[in-house]
Amino acid sequence: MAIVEMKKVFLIGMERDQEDILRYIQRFGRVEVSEIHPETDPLSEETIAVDAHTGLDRIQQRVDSVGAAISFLAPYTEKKSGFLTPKPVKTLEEMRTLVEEPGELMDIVDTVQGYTEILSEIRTKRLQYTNLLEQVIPWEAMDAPYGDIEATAHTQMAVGFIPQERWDALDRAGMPELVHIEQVGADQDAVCVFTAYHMDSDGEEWLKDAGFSRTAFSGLSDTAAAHIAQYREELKGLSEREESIQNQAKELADHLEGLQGLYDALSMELSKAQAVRRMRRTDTTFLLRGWIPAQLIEDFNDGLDKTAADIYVWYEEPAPDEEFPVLIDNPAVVQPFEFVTDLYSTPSPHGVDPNKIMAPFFFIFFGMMLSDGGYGAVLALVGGLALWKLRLKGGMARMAALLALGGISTLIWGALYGGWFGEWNFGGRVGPLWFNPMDDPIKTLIVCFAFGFIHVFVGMGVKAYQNIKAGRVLDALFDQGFWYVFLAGLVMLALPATATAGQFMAIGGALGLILTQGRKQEGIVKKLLSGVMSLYDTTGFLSDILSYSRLFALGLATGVIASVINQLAAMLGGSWYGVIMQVLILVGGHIFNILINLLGAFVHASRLQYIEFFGKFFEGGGKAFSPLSIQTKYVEVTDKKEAHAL
Amino acid sequence: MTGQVYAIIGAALAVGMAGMGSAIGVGIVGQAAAGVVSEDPDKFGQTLLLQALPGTQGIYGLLIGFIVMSKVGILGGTVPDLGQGLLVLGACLPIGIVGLVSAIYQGKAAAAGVGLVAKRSEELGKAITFAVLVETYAVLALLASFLMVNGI
Repeated sequence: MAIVEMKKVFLIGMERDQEDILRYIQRFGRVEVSEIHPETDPLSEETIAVDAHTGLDRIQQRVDSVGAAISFLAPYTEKKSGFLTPKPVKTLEEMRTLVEEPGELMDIVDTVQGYTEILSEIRTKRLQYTNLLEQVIPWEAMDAPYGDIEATAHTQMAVGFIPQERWDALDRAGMPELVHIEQVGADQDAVCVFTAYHMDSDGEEWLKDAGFSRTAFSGLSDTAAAHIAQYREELKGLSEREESIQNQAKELADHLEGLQGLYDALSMELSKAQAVRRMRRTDTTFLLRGWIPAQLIEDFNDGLDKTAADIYVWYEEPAPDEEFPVLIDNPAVVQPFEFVTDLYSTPSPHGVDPNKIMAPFFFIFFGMMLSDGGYGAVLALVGGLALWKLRLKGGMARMAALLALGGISTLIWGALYGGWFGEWNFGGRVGPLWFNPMDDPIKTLIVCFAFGFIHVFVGMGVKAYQNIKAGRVLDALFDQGFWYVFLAGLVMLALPATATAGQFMAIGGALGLILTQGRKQEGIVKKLLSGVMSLYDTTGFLSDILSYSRLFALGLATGVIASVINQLAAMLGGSWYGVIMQVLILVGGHIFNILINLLGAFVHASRLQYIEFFGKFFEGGGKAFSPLSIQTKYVEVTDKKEAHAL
Repeated sequence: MTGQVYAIIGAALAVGMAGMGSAIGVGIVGQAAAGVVSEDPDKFGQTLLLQALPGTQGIYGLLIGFIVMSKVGILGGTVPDLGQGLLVLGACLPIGIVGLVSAIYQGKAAAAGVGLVAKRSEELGKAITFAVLVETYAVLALLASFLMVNGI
C-alpha cells in the first residue's frame, strides 16, 4: 500500500572519484549500500572484495576513543545541555575539516585517555590500601613491630584470632606452663591475641583447643600503628591525585562541544567506510550495489552526473522473491502512527503497510481510553508545543505528533462523554455531546464492541485484499467471505429486527465454512471434520471482540480517578493552607493521572492493533531501509540536502 | 448498618488486594530493571515503561473501592441494608482477586520483558505486548466489578 517501490542500483566508478561519489550518496541520503554476493551479482569475476578492514577499524577506534572522552568529560561540564537545548549547527564543510584537521582535539582525547587510566589505577590502589587498612586496624594497640614476631631458639611467637565467645570461656586455669597469651585488640567477633610459648610446652595443643587461628602478615615489618599511618598517608595521596586529575578534567570540559562535533564527523566517516567495505573493486574502478526508492532515480542521476564524469550506473527490478529493504511512505498525518507499527515489527516487503488503515482506529481507541476533554487539551498542547518549539526529528517528532493527535482524539471523546478534568457535565453547564458512559455503561460497552467488530472485520478485509491481489480469489471468498457472512449473521441473530435474516446468514456462512475450511486436508472425512472444527474459531472471534471492552474500562479508570482527585481536594480548603494543599493535590493528582493513563491508553491502543488487528493479516519481519546518510548525535548539519519527501 | 460494614469490607478488599498485587508486580519488575540499568543506564526509559505496567491493577481496585464508597454512604449515596451490603461485597471480589493475581503475573511477564529489552532494545513493543496480554483479565474483572456495583 505504502511500501515504497525499491530498485537495485549498480554503480561503476573510478577509484579516484570514489570519495566524492560516496560523499554525494551520503548527502543524498536515500541509497542503501548493500553487500555484493560474488555468486549472484554481475561482474564479480573481474572484481575483488575491497580490503577496507584496516581503514574501518582505524576509524572505529577513533570514534570509540572520542566517544569515551566525551562520556568522561560530560560530568565535568558546567554547561548542562538539557533535553530542550537545540543542537549546535555545523556545515558539511566544517565537518570535513574537523576530520582532516582535528587539531588539538585528538590530543585532548589522548590526554583524557591518560586520565582514565590514571583514575582506574587510583581506584585499584585505593581498594588495595583500604583492604590492608582493614586488616591492620584491629592490631593498632599492639606495640610490637610485626617483624619482631618470629620464633627464637626455644620460643614460638605468634599473633592470631580467637572467636569472642571462645575467648570469654577460655580455660585459663588449665593453661600449661611456659605459655603466655594476651589480648592486643578486637575485631568484629574475634579477639586479637599475641601469644608466646616454649617449644617444649603443650602450648600449641592448648591454643588449638582454645580456637586460636594464626595470622601471618607477610611483608609487614613495622608496628601496626606505623603501617596504619602509612596507609592513611597513601590514601590521602591518592585522593589528592584524583582531585587534581578531576580539576584538570574540568578545564578540558570546555572542549566537550568540539569533541562532540568531532564524534559526529567521525561517525559520518565511519558509515562511509562501512559502505566501502560492502563494495568490490578492480585496480582502478569500484562497483557499488545498493537499493534506491524507484521514484528518486532521476533525482539521484542528476546529482551524480555533476559529481563525477566517468561513471556507469544501471538499475534493476528486485527479483520476485527478493527481500528488499522496507521504506514506508505515508501522508504526514499518518506518519506518527508508524511509531506504533515500528514498535511491533517492520512490515515484510511483500506484505502491506498497515499504517494508513490502522491510524484512524488507533486515533479513536486512544481517545476513548482517556476520554477526558481537559486531559486531551493538555496532551494536545504539550505535544504541539514540543513539535513546534523543540525542532524534534525522527522518532521523537513522531512521538510528539502522536501525543498531540491522541490529545485531540481525547478532547473529542471528552466532549462526547462530557468529562472535563474528572468533572462530569461541569455542574450541568456543559453537558455531554453524546451521553455519559457512567449513566449507561451497557450502551458504552455496546459502542466498544461495535468498534471492535468493525476493527476486526477491516483486518479480515485487508487479508482478503491481499488474497485477491495475489490472485487467490477463492481463498478470499472461503477464508474471509464466509466468515463475514457467518459472523455478521450471528450478530444479526442477536437483534430482534434482523433475527430471521441473521439466522439464514449464520447457517449459510457456517455451511460454507464447513465445506471449505478443510480443503487442504485429504479425504472427505478429514475435510468435513476440519471444516466443522473451524467453527470453533468463533470463540477466538468472540474473545477478540470482548477484548474491546477495555475501551470502556480504561476510560472509566481515567474519569473516576480524576473525580477522586477532585473530591479529595474538595475535602480540604477553608483556610489559606487548605487552599495551597488543594492546588497541590489538584495539580499533582491530575498530572499523575494523565501520565499513568496516557501509558495505559498507549499500550492498550497498541495492543488492540498488534493482537486483534495485525493478527488477521500482518506480515512482519521486514528489514528497515537504512540508507547511507548523515546521522549525527550532537550537532546538526545544516546544508545536507533538503530532506527528500520519502 | 451491617450492610455498610460488608460494603466497606468489599471496598477494602478491592483496594487492598489489587493494590498488593500491583505493589508486588511493580516490585518484581523494578528489581529486574535496576539490574539492567546498572549495565546500561540508557535503558531507564524503556524499563520504566515496563515497570509501570503492573501498576494499573491497584488503580482499578481504587476505582471500584471509590465507587463503592460513594454509593454506600461514606462519600455519598445511601446506607445499604444487609442484602445490598453483601451484594456489594461480592461485586468487589473480581477486581480484588484477579487484580492481586494478575498484577503479580504481569510483573513476572514484564520482568522477563526487561530481560528481552536488555538484549534487544528494539523489541520493546513485543515485551510490552507480552505483559499487556496478562492485563486483559484485570480489565475484564474491573468491568465485571463495575457492572455489578453499578447495577446494585
